Amino acid sequence: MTSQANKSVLLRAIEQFNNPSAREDYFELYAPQAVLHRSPELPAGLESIKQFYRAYWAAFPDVKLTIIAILAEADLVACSFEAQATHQGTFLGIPATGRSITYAGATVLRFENSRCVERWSQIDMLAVLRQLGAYQ
Amino acid sequence: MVDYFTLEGTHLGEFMGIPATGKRIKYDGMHIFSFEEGKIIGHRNVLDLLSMMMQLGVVPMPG
Repeated sequence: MTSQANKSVLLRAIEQFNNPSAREDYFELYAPQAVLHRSPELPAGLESIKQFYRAYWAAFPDVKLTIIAILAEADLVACSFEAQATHQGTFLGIPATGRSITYAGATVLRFENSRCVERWSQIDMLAVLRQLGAYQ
Repeated sequence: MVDYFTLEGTHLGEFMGIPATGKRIKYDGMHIFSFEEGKIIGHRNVLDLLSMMMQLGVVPMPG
């Protein structure tokens, strides 16, 4: 698949991520044995990715990702984004606060046959925890 | 241009108001650079500062 096609796959996946009634389709982005490096460190495979995101959406059901930049080259796509969400469910042991949060993120995805097989992602977790009042 | 990196270093001087701890830290980050005529005109960084702060002993585990 061309890098432009991979970019389209990611853009569609983000639309699905942002749409509560299309969220299960978001997982089509990932190949069954996709590896997500670090942030967070998850066991390989689609099931752990699904568990992670379903828990995340339970805490932040109205999350919206806005893409700031997206670029693609060879089998890689990279994007930087901003997320906005309201804390409506327990997250990392912090019960729902109702607070609005906003944070930056950036991700590199490696594609094979138009699915993500490997991903490196960073989000500003420190900013998230501060906004949730985890630190004084 | 994008790079995803792992940074390693030793905390030998004051950083963000934190006096030197001498601790060895390692954290990941990403840079997104915008270029014009071969020079960087802007950038956006997302760094695993939470991990870095935890390694410095400044911030506890969440929850």
